[in-house]
Amino acid sequence: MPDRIGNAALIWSATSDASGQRVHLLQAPLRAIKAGHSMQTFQRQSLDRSVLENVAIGDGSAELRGRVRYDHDPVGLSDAIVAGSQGKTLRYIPDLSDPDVDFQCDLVAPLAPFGLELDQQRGILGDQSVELVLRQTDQGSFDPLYHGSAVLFSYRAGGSLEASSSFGRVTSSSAPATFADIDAGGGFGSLSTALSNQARIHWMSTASSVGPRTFPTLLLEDSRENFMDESEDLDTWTNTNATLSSGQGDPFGGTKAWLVADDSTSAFATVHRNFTPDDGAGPYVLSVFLKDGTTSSTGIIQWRDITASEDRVNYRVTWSSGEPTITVVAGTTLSNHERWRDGWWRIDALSTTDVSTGNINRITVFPSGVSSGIKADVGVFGFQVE
Amino acid sequence: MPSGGGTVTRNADVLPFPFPARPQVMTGYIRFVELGTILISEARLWQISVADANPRLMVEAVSGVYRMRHSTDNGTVTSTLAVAPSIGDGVEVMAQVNVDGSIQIHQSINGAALTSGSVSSALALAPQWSGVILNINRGGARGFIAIREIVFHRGVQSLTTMRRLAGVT
Repeated sequence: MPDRIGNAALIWSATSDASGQRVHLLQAPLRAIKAGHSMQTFQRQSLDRSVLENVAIGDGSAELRGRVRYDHDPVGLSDAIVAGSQGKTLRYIPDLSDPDVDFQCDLVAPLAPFGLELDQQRGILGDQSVELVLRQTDQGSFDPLYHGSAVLFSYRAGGSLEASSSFGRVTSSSAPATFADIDAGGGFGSLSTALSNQARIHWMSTASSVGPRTFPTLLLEDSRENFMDESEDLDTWTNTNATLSSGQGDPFGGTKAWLVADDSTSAFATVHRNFTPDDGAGPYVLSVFLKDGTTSSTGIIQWRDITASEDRVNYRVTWSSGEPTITVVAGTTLSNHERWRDGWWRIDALSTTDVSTGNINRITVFPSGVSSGIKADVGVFGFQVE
Repeated sequence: MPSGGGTVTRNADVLPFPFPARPQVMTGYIRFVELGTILISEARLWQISVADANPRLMVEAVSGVYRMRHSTDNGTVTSTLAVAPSIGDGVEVMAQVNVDGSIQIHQSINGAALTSGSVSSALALAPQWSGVILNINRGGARGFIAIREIVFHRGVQSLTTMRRLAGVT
């Protein structure tokens, strides 16, 4: 009789048996694990094969196919299959050292009448084998068992969150949550708004890449307030000599972005808005979407503490082939500028020092810097100070 | 966070998973893009157990680096990394629990060679965690991360094994 190479078991109740509970110790955890799913589906095609119609009845049930190997107790194994055939719940425990990891299962196959097979490796010694098809009594997934019995937990971004007890994040117009999708914009990221209690599958590229976003991530963030009001409504900002053009294509795929232009050669142009951070001393992070205009120059994005007369962020932005180059005069760049759809780029900046609560702060856009002799324009969208 | 006539607040993401496995020799692996958790004191990458009750196991940001912590009613042991990722870095953090309850943390940034914290002192494993919950970006302070894969596996495993299990190529 070979030593057991695992610590797995099938357990079921047996009220007609004096023992009350039956246990079949498996020589090894179920092998050759294969995932499956059963659902009643109907499909038809149009005559020209251009249209598929699908009808599914309910959500079906996840299944697991696994092979019992090296079994030298064919009576016990047969009794387990008979119990399953009678509709009894089979409790599968991959490792009895960890009995809380268990699966309450219905047996799908084989059902009586059945016959065990000789084990392909040790059948000559009398060991037997059978493939079991199991469903959990709650129809749930067998993950992480699909990976093998030694996996305790597994999640990959984009995978099901059904196993999560409760993902939560309330989202509303006053509590928005956004992420990058790749459903449009050539894969460079289309800004999207998540539904309430919907996890955000946020597509990204590597830090050094400005190519399309190639991998999904699950975005998890703490609560944050955007202290900039009217972040998308530049017509409410203070305008000095600037020409504002609304209705520009934005990173959402909408038309809420603005083109801020300095059309004068006698005075430089700005738009600005004041705000008051009131969430403690900080530091804070500024971020904004920018897009190369039709006439480029060295523009400035400035965050100035008006009360203290100090710049918290001062970025000089130049453009080459539609990509910005940031020269930092004040502030700290947290990450490379991030490419988005339709030529948009998102830049970020950490404020120079802690921000004094209650001070008046100002975000200003200078399309052509502080030179009064240059015409230039730049696309802007989505100012955020958090 | 688009705002209108007033400021707006994005609510926190909350993500707990059931984690019924008892304390045991195991390896936890998480691959993610650093978005700021490293800057927040005691922000958790993940924590097994309810918030502040022992026994528990976690990886958290402390003093600008990641640290693994194993706490029971009999004490606390830690293993701390020396190198901090930057915002935007691709990071792999591997956390090992040994048979005597000692722990060790490892990290690879942007696919570079593994760096490791020291193996901690021993701390006997408790029979169970204070809660059968795996909290991700939760349990203490919350941070900002973009998770790609997270896997827990029995035994002390190598980075190569954990990458394979996570499907990392």
